[in-house]
Amino acid sequence: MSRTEMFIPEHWAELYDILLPATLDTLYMVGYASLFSIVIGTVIGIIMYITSNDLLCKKTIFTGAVNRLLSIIVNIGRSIPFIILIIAVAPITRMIVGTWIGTQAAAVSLTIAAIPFVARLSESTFAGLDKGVVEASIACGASLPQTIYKVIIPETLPVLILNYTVAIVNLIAFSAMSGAIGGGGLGDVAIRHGLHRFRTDMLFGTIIVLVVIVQIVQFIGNFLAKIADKR
Amino acid sequence: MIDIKNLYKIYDSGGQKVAALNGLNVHIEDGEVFGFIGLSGAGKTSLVRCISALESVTSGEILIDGVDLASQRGSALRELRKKFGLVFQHFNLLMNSTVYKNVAFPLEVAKYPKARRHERVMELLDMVGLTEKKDAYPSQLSGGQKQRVGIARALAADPRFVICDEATSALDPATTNSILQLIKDINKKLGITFIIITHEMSVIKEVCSKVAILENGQIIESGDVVELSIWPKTETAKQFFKNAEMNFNNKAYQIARETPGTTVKTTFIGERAPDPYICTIIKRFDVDVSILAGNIQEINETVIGCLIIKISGQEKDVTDSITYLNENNVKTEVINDV
Repeated sequence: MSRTEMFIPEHWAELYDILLPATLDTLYMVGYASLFSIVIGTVIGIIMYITSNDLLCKKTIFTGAVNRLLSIIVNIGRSIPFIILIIAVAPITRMIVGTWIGTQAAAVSLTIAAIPFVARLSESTFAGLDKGVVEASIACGASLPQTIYKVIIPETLPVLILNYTVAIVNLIAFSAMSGAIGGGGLGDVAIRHGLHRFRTDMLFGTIIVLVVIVQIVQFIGNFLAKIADKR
Repeated sequence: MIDIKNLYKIYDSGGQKVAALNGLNVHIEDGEVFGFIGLSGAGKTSLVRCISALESVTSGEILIDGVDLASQRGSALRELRKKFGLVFQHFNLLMNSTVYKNVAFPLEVAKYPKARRHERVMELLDMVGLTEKKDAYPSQLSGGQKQRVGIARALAADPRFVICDEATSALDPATTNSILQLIKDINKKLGITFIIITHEMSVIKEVCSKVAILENGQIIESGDVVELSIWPKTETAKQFFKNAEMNFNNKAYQIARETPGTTVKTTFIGERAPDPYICTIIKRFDVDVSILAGNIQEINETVIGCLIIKISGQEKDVTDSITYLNENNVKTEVINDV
């Protein structure tokens, strides 16, 4: 396509027709995957944190084993290249949504693939919490759930929000690979139309939309973290 | 009442056994302000952590009103913990919660009736003088104010005992003083037992009625603060109370030492401190007295006067003077005879 062809109205209409559904697909996949990977990943992160903290949970062979096992699984999940991982988790995806192809399936695959990342991020956030505050809570006679809900989560919330933002931005990048399993989305458009059809306008279009989405996500993340941070 | 019997805490650091508490025994009565003093590494922190059940003991008993803390687990242990309030050196407040919420936290944990929670929090904030700061966050407070929040939090759930672990060590002298006054007031008003852990003798002298000196995980000397400050037995105790004595290195003292006479350190305690003993011995016995050094201090609200004097005259008169002082409850100690 020549430079002048970019300004042909039909091209604009085509760009719009392809980019809009792709953007919605991306938002769907990223939104779904962010929500579930953050919830599940944080729970795993909490378990990893408390099983390594003698104050919250008496060290036994069992807690040691749980901690090591989770840590190994998280490390494996994080070391496999993402494009391989979303294909590798296909059987699990099929168990959950019945198919491993399509946008919905891609969202599930993204979720599973992002869980280890979120788990490690949240675990290290919790580990950074001042031990004294946890001690104070325990010394007040607080139970483990009370300490988690009233102390650990509220005290680490600003850092958690920033880390979740990092995870969401990562998911946006990861979602580009979902084309590999027929997930669609902006990344898919960039590869299929932009790269393979040499449609530079499509390529730039997706990049601009992605940049805007990432900017908005990061802005919201920073804003929320700032509100939550009273330290 | 806390009874600690034969307490051992042994840490295993890389195959090497380190005994932080080495057969410690202590008895703390209700309503006391009991101080533990020791140099770093003496076992203070281990003791606090064992009493507040933040760490398990290796062997021995910690009896809280007859119930052994060391043998409790789970919810029974959490219930026992509610008998204690802890005040920390670095405050350990919830930085993302307001002053109000920090004080309310132990109440929520203890399932304090919701209807009375607000009233209780306001009462506590009033007690520590922070009513106006209730909506502030800890980062907006000064060190002393943070520690007041810490104290209010420790007191919230009506504890029987409050443990202050180096509670004033991170504060400046003026703030330290105001916090110590607050502890004193609360102890008098509410009769709560305070356990003060510190490395500063000034803190012990200001608030404690009893003191135990820790060394190598054991209590090497303990008892009434006033008595211990006047008659310390062990070397460590003498070191700790040394600052309470006066400076011997002033010029007058050095010059006086070179003139003949008997140098005597005299200590006056309590109501007797202001009595004119020196005048009396000069009149009664034919002696000259010169004062070399002296000070008056207050330990746990008991006035203790200390004078270093040089008595010169006939030998018999000097001996009689010292005997007279002894008979009148003035503690004397002959430093040297020239």
